Amino acid sequence: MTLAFGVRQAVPAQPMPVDMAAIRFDPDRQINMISAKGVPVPALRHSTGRTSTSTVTQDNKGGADADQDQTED
Amino acid sequence: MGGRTVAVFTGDLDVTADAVIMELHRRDVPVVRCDPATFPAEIMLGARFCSGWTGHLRTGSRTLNLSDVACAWWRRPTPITIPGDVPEATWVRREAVAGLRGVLSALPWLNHPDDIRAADHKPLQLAVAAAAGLRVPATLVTNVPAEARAFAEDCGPVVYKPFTAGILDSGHVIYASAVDPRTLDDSISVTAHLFQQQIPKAYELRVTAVDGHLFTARIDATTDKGRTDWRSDYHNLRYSTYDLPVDVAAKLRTVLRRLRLRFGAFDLIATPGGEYVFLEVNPNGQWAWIEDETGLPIASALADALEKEK
Repeated sequence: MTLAFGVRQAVPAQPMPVDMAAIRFDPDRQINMISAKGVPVPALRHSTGRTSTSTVTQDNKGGADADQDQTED
Repeated sequence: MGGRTVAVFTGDLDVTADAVIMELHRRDVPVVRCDPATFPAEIMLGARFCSGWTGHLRTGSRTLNLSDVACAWWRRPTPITIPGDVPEATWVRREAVAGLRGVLSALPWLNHPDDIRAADHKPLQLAVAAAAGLRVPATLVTNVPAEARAFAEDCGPVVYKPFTAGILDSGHVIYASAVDPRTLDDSISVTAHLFQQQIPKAYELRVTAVDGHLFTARIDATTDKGRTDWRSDYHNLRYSTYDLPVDVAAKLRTVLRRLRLRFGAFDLIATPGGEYVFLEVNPNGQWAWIEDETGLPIASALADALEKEK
C-alpha cells in the first residue's frame, strides 16, 4: 500500500522531558504528584511545568470527542 | 442547574488541568475531577429530570451533585471503553456515551464539548476568521495529486499540515513542513491533505483567550525547523509577552463568538511587513507552558471563568 503523503512528513518524536511513569495521580488532591527525594510534590511545578503541557501536537489531541470516537483525537 | 462546584473532565495524567485545580483549591472552590473513561464500570450516574436535571455522578472518591455545578471543563478525557466480552459491546458503548454525554450536555460549560467538536474543523476556522476580517493563508484541501501540484504552482511555496494531532502509532510526529513540489505524487490520494501558502514570518504569536481576555505570547524561533513549525523545536524558542493591536484582538474575539468558544488558543503569524495572519484556533489548546515561560496568568483566568456560572 502507498504511504500517505502526510505520513511521509513524519519525524521521530522528541522524548518527553519528564518520566511520566514516575507521576502518580493523587485522588485526594485530584492532581498529579511526583516524588522529589522521597517527598511527594505537585508534578506540574516540580517539572518546570513542561511535562506534557507543551508536547508537540497535543493541541489537536483530545477535545470534544475523545470519549465518543477516537478518530478525532 | 447552578451551583458552586467546578467539574473537570480529563484524564488522570493531564498536568495542565492540575494547574487550574490547584488554583481552585487555593480559592476554596469545590472541584470534582473525573475521567469519563471509567464509565460505566467505576462511575455511577443517577440523573432525574423534573423541572431541571438533578442527581449525581459518583467516582471512586468524589460525588458530583449535578445541580451544584458552577461550570464544567472538558479538558482531555479519555475514551469510554467497554470490555470486548460484554455482549453487544459496540451498542453498549454507544448507549454509555449518549447517556453520560447527554446529561453532561445540560451543564454550564467552559467550551461546551459539542462546540469544541464543531470548532475543531480547520476549514471552518479559516472561513470564520476570514469573515471576521483576519487575513488567512490560501489553502487547499484535496486528495487529488494534480490539484496539489497546481496549488503549489499557483501559490508556492506551500506547507503541508495535518488536520488532527500528528501523532502516529509508530511514535512519529507530523508537523507543518515545507513542501517540495516534486514530491506531490499519488500518495496525496491516500487521504485528505491540507496545503497552505507559506507565509513569511517575522515571529509567531500564541494568543490564549479566556472569556474575552487575551493572553498573547510572542514566539521567536532560532532555528529553521522552529521557524517552519515552532512545535517541532521547543528547545530553541524564545518567549515574551506581546501587546496585540486592538483591531486584531477585536477580530479574534469575533472568531470566538462565532465559534461559540469561551476558551481558544490562536496561532498567528506576524509578517515582516507588520501584518497578522490567522493560522488556526484550537478550542482545547495547551497553554500551561506559555504561562511558565511568560508569567501570563492563564490558570488564574481559567479559574475565574470556571468559578462563575455562565
